[in-house]
Amino acid sequence: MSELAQYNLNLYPFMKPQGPHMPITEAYVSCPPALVIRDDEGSLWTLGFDQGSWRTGEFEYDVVRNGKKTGEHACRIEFRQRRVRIFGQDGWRTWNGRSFV
Amino acid sequence: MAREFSISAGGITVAGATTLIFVNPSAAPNFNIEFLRFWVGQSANATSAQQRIELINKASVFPTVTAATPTKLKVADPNVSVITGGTAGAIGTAGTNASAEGAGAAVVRWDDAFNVLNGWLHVATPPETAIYPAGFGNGLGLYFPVGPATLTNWAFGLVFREV
Repeated sequence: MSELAQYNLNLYPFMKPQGPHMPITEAYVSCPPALVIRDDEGSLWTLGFDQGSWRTGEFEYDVVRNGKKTGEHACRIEFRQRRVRIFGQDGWRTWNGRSFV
Repeated sequence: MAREFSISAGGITVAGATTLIFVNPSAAPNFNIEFLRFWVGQSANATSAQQRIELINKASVFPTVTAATPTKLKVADPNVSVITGGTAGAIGTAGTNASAEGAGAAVVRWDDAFNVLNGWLHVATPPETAIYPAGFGNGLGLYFPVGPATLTNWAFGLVFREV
């Protein structure tokens, strides 16, 4: 599977956005141990299956938004101050709507 | 890395306290099974609620499950898993959503709880992965020790690699 590829949502339905009935994730929720994070835009964030490095001491996986790879790897996704942040070997970075900076 | 496989199910209605997935390693000599991650989520209930989850070990009288064939994570991986789909929890098989739990004692390996709105993702750090060697004769289950408030639309899965 190439960068920015789409996961098979029939095979992995937990990656699929689940509709407006599901609430926005509360602040400070972290994935893992949460499976998914829903942000203010209704996007669903989770970790995929493409394993990266584990220089942080934990396995890092690709960061997935609405079932699509973002091209980033992380061991942690956190929802804080209504922003999605990831932690990986490059430290903490924040989603600006288009990429992690 | 090759020989990584997932077992996943979605849109599942569970009966209550249920084994969600059960994997029993193959007879020796063969690949050992290293479990890398587990997940559980749902899309039916928009109300906050806590749910217990366990990883259990069973040595005998395994659950009756729906056969589930492991899917390779790397599409170009030429290998197929040594684990096949099976309904009896027998050696070398895997299945999901148990219809009968089986009388064998369940030994809890990992006990946790999660909010159903957020789901549960357990990624073992490298020294904490569970390895079930070929010929072990015991199976590992992802298990709801108590029934959830809403029984419908559960999704769950696990990833293992063969080492």
